[in-house]
Amino acid sequence: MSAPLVLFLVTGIFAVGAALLRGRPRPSAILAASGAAMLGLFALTAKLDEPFVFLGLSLKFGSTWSLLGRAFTLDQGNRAAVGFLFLAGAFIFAGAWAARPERYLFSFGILALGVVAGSLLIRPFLFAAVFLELAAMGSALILVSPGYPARRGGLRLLTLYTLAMLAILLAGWLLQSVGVAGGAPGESLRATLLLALGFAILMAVPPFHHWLPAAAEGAHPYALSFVAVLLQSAGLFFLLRFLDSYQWLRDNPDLFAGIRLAGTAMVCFGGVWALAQKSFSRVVAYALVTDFGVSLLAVGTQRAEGYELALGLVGSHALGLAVCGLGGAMLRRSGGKDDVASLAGSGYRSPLAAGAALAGLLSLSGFPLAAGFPGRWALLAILSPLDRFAAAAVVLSCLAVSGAAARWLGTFIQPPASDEKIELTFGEGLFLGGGVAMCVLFGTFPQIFAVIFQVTRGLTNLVP
Amino acid sequence: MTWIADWAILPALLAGVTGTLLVVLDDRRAVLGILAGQYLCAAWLVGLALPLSIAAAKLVAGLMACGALALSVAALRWRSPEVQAGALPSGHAFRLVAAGMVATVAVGLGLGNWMSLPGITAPGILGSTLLMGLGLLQIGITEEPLRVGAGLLTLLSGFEIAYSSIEPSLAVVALLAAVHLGIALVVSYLLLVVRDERPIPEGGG
Repeated sequence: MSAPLVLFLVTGIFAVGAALLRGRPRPSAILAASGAAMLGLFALTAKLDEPFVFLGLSLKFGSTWSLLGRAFTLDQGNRAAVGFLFLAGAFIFAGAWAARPERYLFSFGILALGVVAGSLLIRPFLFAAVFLELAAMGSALILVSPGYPARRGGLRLLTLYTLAMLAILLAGWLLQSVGVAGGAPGESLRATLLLALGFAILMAVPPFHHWLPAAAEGAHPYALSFVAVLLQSAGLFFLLRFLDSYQWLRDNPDLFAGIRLAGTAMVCFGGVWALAQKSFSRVVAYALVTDFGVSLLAVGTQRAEGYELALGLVGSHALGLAVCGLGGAMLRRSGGKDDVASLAGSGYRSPLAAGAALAGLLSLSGFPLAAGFPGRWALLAILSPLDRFAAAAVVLSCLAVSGAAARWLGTFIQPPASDEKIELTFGEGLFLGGGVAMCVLFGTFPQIFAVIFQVTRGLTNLVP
Repeated sequence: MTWIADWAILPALLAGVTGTLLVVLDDRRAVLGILAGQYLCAAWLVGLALPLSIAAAKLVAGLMACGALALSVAALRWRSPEVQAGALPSGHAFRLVAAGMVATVAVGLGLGNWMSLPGITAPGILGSTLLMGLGLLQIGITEEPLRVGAGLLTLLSGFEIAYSSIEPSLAVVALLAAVHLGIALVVSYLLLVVRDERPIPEGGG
């Protein structure tokens, strides 16, 4: 049996299991988290193309599975990325039951993980664009639910990812068939522009970010956290694989200047808009835009350390977003809204939930001692000699989003309109406290993120 | 079968007509019927580049997508959403004029091989350009799920006509068919998830 087929089959089995348990959040979360963790460990440790004995049975996992003339391959180049993806999913699923998300998060979530894994496994990798479109479909189903029926975010996500898929497929054809490496400058320009459009959408570069605030406003905060981590990781892996595969792209300084410009625009835009928002979820959405921008700036350095850093930032981003989503979901329990009036005094009604929401937001902002800080610090060290304006923008965006967090701290400690407390179970409190502690721990001991750098192992041209 | 190539201009022009009607009409029964007709035109044009059996498979996938949408709309008793006046004009006349302008530009572009695709026929490029242009217009002027879904499917059909001439592999055909079905299923879900819809502001963000 081939390893990719095992990954897909087991993903399907866990998705069906989670769907059957949809009415019971805790078993459903345990099943999805353990399933994703198991798949992640399988991707990382399975012996490929070598026979081995397990429980007295002689087994062999092939590295390739062929379907309709295309191959899905799990090898040393992509197994770290696939493993990371499933383990990050397991981390988010594990905390999900405490956030009480909509019941289909686990089943659609694990399916979406499987589809994104498919995008990493397929050869030629250009067809990953279609898998990202399928992942966006799953994400739309996660974002919109009977309890959170605002459809605008999901529809916009679907529309934008469809456009991205078309642009990348066409660009891929130009790259493969016409051979722009030695081809006409017109073809190179066309391919570059199509790629720029496709990746601008995948990385939520303004104005293609507009699904995020709409989704943040209308979706369950934890569901948004899952979708944002999943799609951003997938987009970033895909971008790095493109750069790794095409030398003329890697050697194009104008392209990297463009990536830095887009990243700078994102951190400036996100920072300013985060300050101006009157609902907490929209602040998180714009903080996410700045965080995506920081990842792009790391890629735009055109250095191996920058690529590693971009992937390391995905880890801090997942942690900050999960903790923020968990806290935000609990704060919304009392009234369902998250504007200033609804959240005033939340610090008294549930100090732990308010603390988690702020700790997550500070982590996304890159505030010192929070999980997002070490990555930004390291980025500034390699970015400032290269592009002082972009480095200054990173610092300013950190200040702006931290300022927005301070504003919300002021809201949380206002006298509450009522004495009604937000009741938390012991387990929920444990998850919230653990999340805050992890934000500080990862900010204080950033070496933990170095494990994620293993994901770059397959990108031998980018990180020799 | 040479008649498929000889008469290929017919589905190319009909594709433009169906795309325009999808932009202009609100009636959900009509929209789904026209979408099914559009899939027939698209399959004919795809048949210029791919074997007819594969083009027929695309038609079946498209009709299945229409069927999925029809089931959801039938569950809503075929009623169209109440449309609220938005900041931008969105009446039938506006949409007709906009569709006319886009179709004119698309015909202008589609008379030549503006995408420089090898192996694509003249009717193929015309039909593809019309569908992509009108699909983009559709998704740009509305946020009503069924109409956005129809716009996305129109855009995809147009793209597939062009893409089938450069990437004829079976895997891609299957993946894109899955995308058609997936979009239809997601749109169906979005239609059903909110049964008591608030009026949708047209043209507004």
